[in-house]
Amino acid sequence: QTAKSSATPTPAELWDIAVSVCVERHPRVTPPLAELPKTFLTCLRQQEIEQSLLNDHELAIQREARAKSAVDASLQKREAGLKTTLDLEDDWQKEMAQFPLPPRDPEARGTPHEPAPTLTRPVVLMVRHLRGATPVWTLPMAQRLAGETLRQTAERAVLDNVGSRLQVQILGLAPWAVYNNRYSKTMQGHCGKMGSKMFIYKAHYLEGQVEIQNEAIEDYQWALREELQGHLLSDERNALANILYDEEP
Amino acid sequence: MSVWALYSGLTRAPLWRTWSHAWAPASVSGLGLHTSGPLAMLPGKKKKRMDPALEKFKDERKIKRLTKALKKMQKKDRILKPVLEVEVPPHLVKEKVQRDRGTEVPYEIQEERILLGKQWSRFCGNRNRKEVRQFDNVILSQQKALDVLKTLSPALHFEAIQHDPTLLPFKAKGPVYTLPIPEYIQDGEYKDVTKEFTIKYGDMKQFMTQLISNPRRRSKKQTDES
Repeated sequence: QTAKSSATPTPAELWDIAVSVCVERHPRVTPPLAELPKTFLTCLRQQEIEQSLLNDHELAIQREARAKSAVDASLQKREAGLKTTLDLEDDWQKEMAQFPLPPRDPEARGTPHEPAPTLTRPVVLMVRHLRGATPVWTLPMAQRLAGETLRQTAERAVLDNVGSRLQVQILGLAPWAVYNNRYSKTMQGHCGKMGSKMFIYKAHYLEGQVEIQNEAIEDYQWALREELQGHLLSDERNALANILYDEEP
Repeated sequence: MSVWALYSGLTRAPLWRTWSHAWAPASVSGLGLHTSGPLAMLPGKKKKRMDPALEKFKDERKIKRLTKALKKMQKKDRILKPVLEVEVPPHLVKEKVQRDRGTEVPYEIQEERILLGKQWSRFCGNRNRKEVRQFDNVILSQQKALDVLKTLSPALHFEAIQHDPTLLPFKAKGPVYTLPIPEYIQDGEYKDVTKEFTIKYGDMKQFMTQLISNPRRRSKKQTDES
């Protein structure tokens, strides 16, 4: 390739291309309501009861109360083998108590490797690897190889870092965000490039387990928003802030 | 002579054989008299051969009449399918007074509720506007990334802006209030009593009799012209 006469090098000559994937794991349980939605919901439920008509059970209660001698009437009913309204309500309470309702535990966090099933907040996958000499927590990433499209690099980033058993759906062929990752002086001198342009792809976690087979990766975690932002560099953090939805209602 | 000849002619073949003109001897029909063979059944109506054009015309008319009748039926209002959720059971309508709760909401609480409703409206408006802003941020961020990619490599940019067939149909399962109980079997047996409804028009019988009894008869003049 003939060298260009202009002094300024093209962007392709200055920057490497790399892709990182933000794998988001959605909560399976709804979060607890904030204050205003809670008050509004109770208000609506109150109104619904007020505007409704009495049902058959409530009519029966009224009838039993109006009977000349309520106690005798209920005794008669019980002797006859029929159930009074109080009996019915007791039965229903017992049935409710016996029902194996699973607990809602929004506070439960589980482990970083396996988030609690009752977690009500989304988590993002992070991996720990060496950047130079220091180990850092980052999103799973990969350098683009020749002949690959960006989407293929993204798929490889997930596969190489966290294994083939993890099933994710990468959303779209186009990258969601970009930021600059400048190399250190030594690294710049070594490869002749200023740094790499990091393209972020967003993916939804579908199912499966993380299986680290890459020796370069030390550890992984499913991080909450604060933990994620705490580990990242400012450029990456700003890029991600645009594509992760705000959890505050 | 002729009668005797007739008799001989008759005895030539058994009576049950039908005779055609060819069997009758030529000598007998000197006077032009001949017998026809004994017929085993009553003479049938002779079928008049229809003019093929006329036949076609009649068929066309039939088809036209049927299509017209069908169109008429489709224009007619159908009886609506009863929707159980919308229909109020008639015994409840009668017992409405009996079932009245008689609640009276005090004025202060009414005011409180109205103000709460306004607060809720403001909350929802803000939430929706925030979501729209988030969508805009995502779109902008993606556009920036694509612009940077274009400067780096037009080929990669071209690949990135293609349509992703795996994205649609998009499926996402939302969160639930409580997780499903493992191996929970829904209790109770049930009989499926859903009612099947066929398309029904009001007064179908009357309508059909009307159609059948009054087919439009065109005057003879018109048929000749067409």
